Amino acid sequence: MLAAFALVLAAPAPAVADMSGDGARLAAPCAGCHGTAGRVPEGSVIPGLAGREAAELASLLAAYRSGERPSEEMGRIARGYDDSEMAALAEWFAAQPPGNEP
Amino acid sequence: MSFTRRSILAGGAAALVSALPVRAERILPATGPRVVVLGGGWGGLTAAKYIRLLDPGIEVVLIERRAAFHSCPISNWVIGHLRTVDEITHSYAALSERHGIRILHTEVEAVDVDAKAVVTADGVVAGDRLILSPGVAFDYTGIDGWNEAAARRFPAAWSPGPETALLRARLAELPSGGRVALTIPPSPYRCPPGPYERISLIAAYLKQHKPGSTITVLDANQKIVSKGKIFQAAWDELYPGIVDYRPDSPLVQVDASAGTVSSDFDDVAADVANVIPSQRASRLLHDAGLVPDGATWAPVDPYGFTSTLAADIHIVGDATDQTTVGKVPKSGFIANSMGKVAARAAVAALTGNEASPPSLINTCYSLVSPEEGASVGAVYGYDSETGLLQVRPGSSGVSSQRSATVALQAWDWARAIWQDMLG
Repeated sequence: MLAAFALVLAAPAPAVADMSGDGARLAAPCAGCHGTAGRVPEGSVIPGLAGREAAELASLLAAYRSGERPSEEMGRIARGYDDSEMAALAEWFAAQPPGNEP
Repeated sequence: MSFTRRSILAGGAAALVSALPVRAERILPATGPRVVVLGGGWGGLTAAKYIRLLDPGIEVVLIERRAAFHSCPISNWVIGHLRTVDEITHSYAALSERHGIRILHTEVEAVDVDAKAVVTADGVVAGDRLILSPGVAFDYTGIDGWNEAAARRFPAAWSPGPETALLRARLAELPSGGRVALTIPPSPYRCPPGPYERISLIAAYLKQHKPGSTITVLDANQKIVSKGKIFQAAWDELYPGIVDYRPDSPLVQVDASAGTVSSDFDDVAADVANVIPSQRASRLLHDAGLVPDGATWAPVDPYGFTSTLAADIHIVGDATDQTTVGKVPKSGFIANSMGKVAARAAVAALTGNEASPPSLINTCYSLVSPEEGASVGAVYGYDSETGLLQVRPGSSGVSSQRSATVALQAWDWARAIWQDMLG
């Protein structure tokens, strides 16, 4: 039976900054397309979000919400958040270490 | 150990059927606060990983029968010969190596609600809280002529695995001018657009490789359940004369030796037939008393996806009751979102903190051909007046037309969400 367990190794867990706050709570489902903590797999056509400027992310979300920036999915998703939620999302993703997930 | 009468009966019956010994002794004693997660599918994997991201001081034991993960989303692409079985099969190893999750691959016999434990073939694993994500069971009652021969002749391929490969292989063996049939159960079932994506990709395969072949669809629903206009337009424009879609046609009878599937109105003879059966919450939840007598799905409070029938037990994924959750689809994306909400709620409860309100997203990508697809999605928040999840105003929508962009995004969506669960 013991053989059925994978060993717990000292491999590093991914760095995710501040999982406890409201930004993390709102951002968690975004990982379904943008990867854990906004780090997409290598070569994805879906952009990564980790470590980008908060102001850039907030203005992109606002432009998707208004329709100024056309999109397939992000317009409707952005309409699901108010200004303060967008700011929390943008700040949380900005605080994540950039890069790709394996 | 306090077993309910129901769980003893369930465990005993299952053990006889599977001929596996049920060992009642406790295994894996906890060294600190622990959550036991049942089911290595979309809801369970996400919950397990996110508990460890939220609080590495909480031990997570994940119990899953299969040695590798098989993805239900994208399995239609395998049936349609666009991707291989290997491409939807992934290792669980990173969850233990990177996140320190203890994974136990064994058969689950029962859930012991009172002891907050999962009874497995290897012994009993107890925790401070349980997160149950056992998925759906298939229900063939009410189909005349259903028997073992019918099960072989009419595979569901609605859980990824050997039947996915079987249906793919049968399509490859179909002669030109062959007849395919597919039946769709009444909603709600797992993956609302799934049957229609499958029809589309089978039709595309027939068009390219099996000239003169057709696919006849008996749909129990009165119309296409999801993305109706887009699928209908694709069938009319891309597969004229190939897709014969018949709504309001529940499957009532099969004949395995003749190869026919029948509604009240039609007998459809087929060389290859795919019966997608009615669905309900996993037997484990019914046996544990987590589904009320006579009900089909498990009621939960969506604030933390806690069972309304037992303390300290969360239920996520397709097995949950939409009348208690709110109108979210039974999709992989939603199961992933639910797993995160349950993880936060479980961690809050174990650390003496207030639970925070749920925030979920759904996005479902479907291909209508190998080159083009469409998507549907919404953002969900918690409505304190009804106690249900509700679409955030303006956030629900579907593609206006099929596009190549969505088809490209769909594959990278799958890669990202597989990584989010398994990486």
